[in-house]
Formats: sequence, C-alpha cells, structure tokens
Amino acid sequence: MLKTNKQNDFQYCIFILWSNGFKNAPEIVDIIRNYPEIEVQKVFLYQTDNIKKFIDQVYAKDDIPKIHIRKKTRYIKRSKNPNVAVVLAVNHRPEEILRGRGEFRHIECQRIKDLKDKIRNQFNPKKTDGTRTEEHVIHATDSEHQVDHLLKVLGYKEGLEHFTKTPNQILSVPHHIKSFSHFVIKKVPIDSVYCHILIGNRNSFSTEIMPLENSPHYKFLTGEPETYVKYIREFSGINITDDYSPEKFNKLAEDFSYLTPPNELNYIITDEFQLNKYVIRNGLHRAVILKNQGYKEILILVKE
Amino acid sequence: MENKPQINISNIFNEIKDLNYILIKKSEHFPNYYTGSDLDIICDDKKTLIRKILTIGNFYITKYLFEIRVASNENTKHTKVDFYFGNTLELRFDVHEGLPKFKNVKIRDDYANSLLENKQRLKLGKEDKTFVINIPSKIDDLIFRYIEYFEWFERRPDKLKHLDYVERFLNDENERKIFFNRLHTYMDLVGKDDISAPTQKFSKEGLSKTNFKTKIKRELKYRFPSIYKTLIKIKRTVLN
Repeated sequence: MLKTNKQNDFQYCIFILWSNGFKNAPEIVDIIRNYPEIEVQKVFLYQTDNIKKFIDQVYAKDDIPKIHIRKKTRYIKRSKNPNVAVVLAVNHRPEEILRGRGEFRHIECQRIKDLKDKIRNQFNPKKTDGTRTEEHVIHATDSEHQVDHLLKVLGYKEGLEHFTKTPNQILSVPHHIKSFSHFVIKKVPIDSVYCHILIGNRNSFSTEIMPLENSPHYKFLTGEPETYVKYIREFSGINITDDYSPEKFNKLAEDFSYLTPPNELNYIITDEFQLNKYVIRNGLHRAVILKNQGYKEILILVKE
Repeated sequence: MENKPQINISNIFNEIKDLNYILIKKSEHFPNYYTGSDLDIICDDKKTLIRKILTIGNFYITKYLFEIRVASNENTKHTKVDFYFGNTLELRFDVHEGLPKFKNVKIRDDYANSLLENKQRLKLGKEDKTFVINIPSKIDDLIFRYIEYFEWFERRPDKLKHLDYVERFLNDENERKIFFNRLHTYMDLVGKDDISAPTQKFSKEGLSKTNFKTKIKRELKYRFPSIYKTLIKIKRTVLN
C-alpha cells in the first residue's frame, strides 16, 4: 500500500528525460522546477545496459496499447546512449482527467500533460517545416502506481515507499536519513558543526569532513559563488541528487530565519562524530547561512 | 552555568489544550514540580502533542541552555521527552499513544478510548493566569493508582501510598461498584502471576463451585502470597 496523501492533494510524478533531450537538460529541468505547483525532489542520471528492455519496463504499467508504445518509442531504441535523466517531483495540485477513447482511455493529470507538452513543443526535434516531431524528449508518469513501478525499475527496491517513509515518528525528516528514534536537541557553538563535502570529480571522488567555512556552500555566500556552482555542476545527478541550484540557494538565503513558523521543528540534523563535534546530515545550506548571518551558537538535532 | 529556571508547565498545557489527552497521576504540587519529576500523558495523537512540547522547548534551549532528549519506543508507542539542565533531568514528559504497558497487569487496549472519552477538564491557576488540563475521571484516576500499586508493589514498597489513596477516596458505594466493574472489565493479570492458570486446571477436574473457589484461594495463597494479600485487603475494604 502506498503512503500518499489520503485527500489526494498531492501526488508524486516522474519525468524521464531521454538522450535526445540531453543537450537541453538544464533548461528542461528549469522549466519543471519553475512550473507552478510542481516541486522537484530529486534529479539523477540512470545508466542502463539495455535501453530496449528499459523502455519496455518504463511503459509496462501504461494503460495505452503496447503497439502504440512500440511505435512511439522506436526512435529511442535506435539511440546508442544508455543514459536517461530522471526528475522525481511532487505535484501539489493534481488535476486528474480521463483522456482518450476506447483502448486509449486512461487517467492523466492535466497539469503534468500541459507541462510535458510545453517541453515537447520547445525541445522535441523539429521537422523541416518547423513543426515538432513525435520523437519526445520527455516522458512523464500518469499515476503514483506508475511512479512506484518506475522507481523499482530505477533501483529503489521499496519503490515510492522509499520517498514517503518517515525516518522519525515525531519530526519531518528527509527520506535519505537513516531511521532514528532517539535524539537530542541542543544549542552548540557553530564552530563545532562540520560538513561532508565531496572531493575530486564525478568519476573519482571521496568525502571529507570539514569546517563550514571551507565548504563551497559558505564560499557561495561570501563572494566566491563559482566554487558552489562548479561543485553542484560536477556532482549533481550522480553524487548529489537532491534538487539544488544557485537560484534556490539565493532564494533560501534571502530573509532566512531558522526555526520560525511554520518551520519551528526543521532542525539541522547531525551526528556526533567526535566528542562535542557534529557533522551535518541534513541542513548544510541553512547552517552556512546562519554562520554567514553571524550566529556563534545554533540549535541542532543530534541523532543517537 | 547560569541559574536554572523552572519550566512553565502551564504554557505547555495551554499549547496542547485542544488535543485529546489526559494527564494521569497528577501530583499534588502540579503545576509546580520537583527536579526529576515526570508527567504521564495518555493521548490519541502522540506526534502532534510532542511537536507542541518541542516547539515550546526550543525557547528553553535557546534562552536557558536546556537540552531536550527524546527517546521513542514504537512497539509500545511510548516517547520520553526529557528536559535536561546540564546533566540533570529537570522534567520528563512520558507520552503514551494509547495505554502504557505494564508487566504484571494486562489492560484492554480500548480502555484508552474510555479514559479519553470520560476525561474531565480541570481549571488551574489564579486570576488571569488560569489554564485548563485534562485529567481522568475520579474512577479512572483510582484505577490507575491501583494499577500502579499492583505493578510495582513487589519492588517498590513506597507504592503502597497508591493503595492508601484508593482506600481513602473510594468511599461512595456507587463509585465502588463502578470502580470494580470497570477494573474487571478492562484489567487482567499476566505472566507468572496469571490467576487464570489455576482456574483452567481445576475446571478440568470438574470440581463443585465451592471446592473450585477454595482451591483457587489455596493456590493463590501459597503460590502468589502477595497477590492473595492484596485481594484480601481489597475485599475487606469493600466489605467495610
């Protein structure tokens, strides 16, 4: 059973960006990110060793006839590129409608369809007369049932459950944090808070624990934005799959106020890696903003 | 370390006033407390209640250097929210979604609904600084104190105070009936002290009703003398 919102006032959806749209990937992700009521959760690359099999799996839960799917995906199967980009998003205002006739009858969200059409109109390869071909650059799921299936295909064994489960029964904690039932909330010197930073490049990297002021994130706020931009560009999609961008970071930093309504309990989450030294598991962007705002002490949550 | 402030309990109870909860075993000093005290709360939505405690707790962490330690046991649906000042436990909120679990006593789960349905509102404080808390009905309060005594009397002789309390306040004939009726509806003994064991044994032997009762008494008296004494004490209290 999927744990989605009972009132159905939000739904998860997945966009698959095929290789023919890769050259426009940043613009396409930006369109999704900036679309009203759509909140991007994750962006990552997926490499398949069998694109034909992968396409069959992607469309396995679609309600439209297989013959039609085979026709419309022929161009992708011809591609030699084994990569796809995946965008997992939350649709905060699903507008489900029944579309098509006969065996093409299926439920889909008008909002997602409009977004998909906008991207396809703009980025699908063009015919000689300038009109768009049907070689779609993007695919989108129609239901959470399909999202669940697709996530399993993409390697998330628990499917949508992986993203909807709550690592803590009391607080809202991101799904990537390991479940915990014991924790301490305390005030600590900000200099005792450290962060994990990736070192190297996307093909060969390691992580290093370092003080906040050495992070690309802190440098972004203190006159070296390019360090952060380069860091995100290098590792996003593979090592960094949450939806970060300089624009989002700038927006967060404007008037940021920690633990104020409605986010009173959105603590920076840490582990104590040495006595009285804490490494951030969630909330690095917020921590460097606080450091840049001049805070000497901050409230943190320490998992136990 | 600066002077330790008292936690303003009325603020916390004001914050949770709209939630479905009861404060059980309220001390006579309430809303004042001694360092190391605990407040036992039964509710139907632990998450919301604890989030409200933490929201107020942020103030004590920021201003007074308190630490809040939270420990949950999802099997028993019990969470401890401890306010520490330095290494000293200042105040503990024992929050139970449903009934607390006891070792020697088994209580039917639906007793939690009954407790919350029969809760009473109690206004505390003076003049413009009043606040309201939810407490169990008188009968449920006595049942809880009795259970507490029963659970602990072998290891904690001081828990006898609960039995004294029950004896002192269970003085109305009608209330006594309700007390025992509700107690027997929702409560049973478990584990090594399971009184149902001799019942099953002797009933198979086809004994007469009188012999059956005598044998149960004898079994209880020699196998579980402490339980036997308690039952006799209750019986005498009721008859007197």
